[in-house]
Amino acid sequence: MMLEDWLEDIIRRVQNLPFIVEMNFLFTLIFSLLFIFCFSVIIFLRIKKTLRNRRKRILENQIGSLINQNVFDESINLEEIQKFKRSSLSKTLAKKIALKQFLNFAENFKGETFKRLQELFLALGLDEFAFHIIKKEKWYKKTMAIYVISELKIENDELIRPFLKSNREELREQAIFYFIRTSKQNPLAFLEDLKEELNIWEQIFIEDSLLYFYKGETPDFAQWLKHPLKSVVLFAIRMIYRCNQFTNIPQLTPLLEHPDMDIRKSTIISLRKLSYENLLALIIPRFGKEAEEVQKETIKAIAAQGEILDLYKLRPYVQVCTPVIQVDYARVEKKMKQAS
Amino acid sequence: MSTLFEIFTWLFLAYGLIISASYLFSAVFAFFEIRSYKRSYNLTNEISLLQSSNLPKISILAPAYNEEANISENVRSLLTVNYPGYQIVIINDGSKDHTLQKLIEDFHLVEDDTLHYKPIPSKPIRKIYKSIHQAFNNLTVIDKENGGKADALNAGLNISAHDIVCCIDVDCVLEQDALLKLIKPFLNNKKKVIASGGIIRIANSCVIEDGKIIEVKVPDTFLAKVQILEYFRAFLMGRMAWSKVDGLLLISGAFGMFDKKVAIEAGGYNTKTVGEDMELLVRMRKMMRHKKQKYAVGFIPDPLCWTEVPQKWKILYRQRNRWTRGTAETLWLHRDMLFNPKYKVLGMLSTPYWLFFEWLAPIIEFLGIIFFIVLCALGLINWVYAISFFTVVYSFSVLFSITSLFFEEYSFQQYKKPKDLVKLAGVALLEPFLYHPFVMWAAIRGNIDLLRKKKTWGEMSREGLSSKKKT
Repeated sequence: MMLEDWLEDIIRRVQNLPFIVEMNFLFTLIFSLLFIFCFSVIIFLRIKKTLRNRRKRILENQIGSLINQNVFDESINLEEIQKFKRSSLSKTLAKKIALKQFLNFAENFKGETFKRLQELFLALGLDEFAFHIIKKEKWYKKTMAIYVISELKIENDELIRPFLKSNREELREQAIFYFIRTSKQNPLAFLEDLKEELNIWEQIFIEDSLLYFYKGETPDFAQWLKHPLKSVVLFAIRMIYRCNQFTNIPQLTPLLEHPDMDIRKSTIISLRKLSYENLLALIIPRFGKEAEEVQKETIKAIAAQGEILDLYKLRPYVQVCTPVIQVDYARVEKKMKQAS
Repeated sequence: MSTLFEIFTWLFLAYGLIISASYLFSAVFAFFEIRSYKRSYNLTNEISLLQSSNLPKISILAPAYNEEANISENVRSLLTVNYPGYQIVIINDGSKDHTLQKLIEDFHLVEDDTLHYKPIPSKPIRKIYKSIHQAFNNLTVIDKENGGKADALNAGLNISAHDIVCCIDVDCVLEQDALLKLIKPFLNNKKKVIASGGIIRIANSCVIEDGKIIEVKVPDTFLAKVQILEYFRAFLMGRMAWSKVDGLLLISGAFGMFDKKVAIEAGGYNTKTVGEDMELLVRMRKMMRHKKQKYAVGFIPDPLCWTEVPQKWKILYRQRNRWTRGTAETLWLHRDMLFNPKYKVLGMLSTPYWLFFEWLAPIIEFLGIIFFIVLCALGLINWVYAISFFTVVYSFSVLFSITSLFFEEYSFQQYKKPKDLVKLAGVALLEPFLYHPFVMWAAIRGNIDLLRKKKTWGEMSREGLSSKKKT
């Protein structure tokens, strides 16, 4: 009875409170409930993730064992695989974990073992799962799935091709890497249709795909030296020295007179790394009218390939150069003198 | 008189509402930014980055002052960072102890007489050292006269060899892939990136082995625990939100990456302010705007850098005092940006926010408390109103802290045990009573010290992270 009175009293008092106070208490109640809700969600997520991680570890071990058992044998045990598929790979989480495990193994396997890994991937039906993600799921899941199939060289060009024109940069990138990694020839064909500049990030991954995944004939990078996009030209210049394409030196040298400073600079670097013997003869006469960045590269080239007399040829111009160049010049001069 | 009191009451109320709304907006923006980051970078292949010939080289600049106890261990930790081409530049800022001797002995340093162009003035450099040992050939040590952190960093900018510089506190612990991640904004942006920053995490009580974080633990002391929440709010919510709207004004001095040319062109670090990290970024952004050059400032939410926070009230007081002075000095130096549409988000949003809600907030809060005491003394308090306002503010502040904890759980889950999260939630309940008033008071004193033209950093003794070894 007393409790009822007390509650009634509280309700009466609340009903008589001014509007602002009522609102304040209402918001206090809302914030407090939100606090309890947020905290419960955090704890729920934490426990869920801990349990999921436990399941994940078990599955990772199971998949790891399955891969180890099968890739090193003469042939894969189809019966065992089907059994595993039915018992352990029925849920989406398990399939996702399997994709990641295959990805880890793919990074370390080459040759025959890699082929066996591919066979196992197909036998488990993970290709279908990846294709399903690419067709139906959200963009960030699609990028992951494209990445997986390109790492494992599972081909489905028709499915991936539309993503070359995707509005999503990440999807476009993954589609590009897929075509480089899986192509048999002309892996950089997409450059012809490229409308936007490549950033350094994309260049790094294109280079990586070309050098470490693509198995066909190395493209002749000189064909892109006249590309309308500056980043493609810079990429081609760098790849010429990365792939030691000495035969492309005659195509590179005209770029020392290119109107763009970055292209001239990259050309000097490339020719220096290719140890082109006539480089100094071409760049020293241009030194006086060059931009600071190019002048720096010129001095570097002399330090790498030239003699002190080559350096002295710059002396008349150095006095009117920026202090940065003057110090660079003095530093190289000192080193060369010490060396001689 | 009562009308005046009423006006003040409404002003305080309006201010409180606006600041709460800004917190709500920042939470929403931060959430979308973190989500976007997680989705975009869910499959970074670091091997490709490490193999690339196209990754820009980085110079790590780390000023050291009286660090003889831990300097060798700190440098060894930096030497193990995963990155294909980087230089470590330790700047011995006139240490009074044996920091330099320790470095010379432990890393086989010899004098290096290479010429350097020094575009930014700094206190005289006594000598530059390089290691003769092959394993440490990327280590450079500058020995200079004492001039403070900003001056030391300027000397580092002058001597560093590479076009990208990463300025760090020498005693912080970097994640192995910290540079690979922090360089990302410089690589995948169509605009010129002038700087990028990362989230600073708290290393107190963490298990550290060979300069690496082995196990993340919630610290034992209340003071360190409460700063974890504070850092979550500042980095996961505040800076992520500002990054989303391209309005970042501060990249932490403990860990930030800069385009060296732009930093030098802007004049390097300002040695006349104690908030040199914020001031440099503001000046760089301002300069790019004047040059009408498109640019970007990146921010990475991954936990990349771990640092020790003060565990003593006295040290915390000095730190917060200095932060307040740094903020005020920067805002004063760049007061022309305030509400200036020429600077777009920076002028119309970032600087006003920093002025009204970072610098002015503790002052208004302090005045509010005085106002409340006056009303109490005059018997003009309606306690039902007062209590109702107090409960709403308290519950909102706790909710805000819990939201930041949720962001941590959603993003990087560094604290794996549920009991850690319970501890942090408990701290969120106590913070408004035990911690917040102290920080507010430190900020008030910072403003007073600023008016008194105090320019010192104040001694920042640390307990040291390296002592906490795994047993």
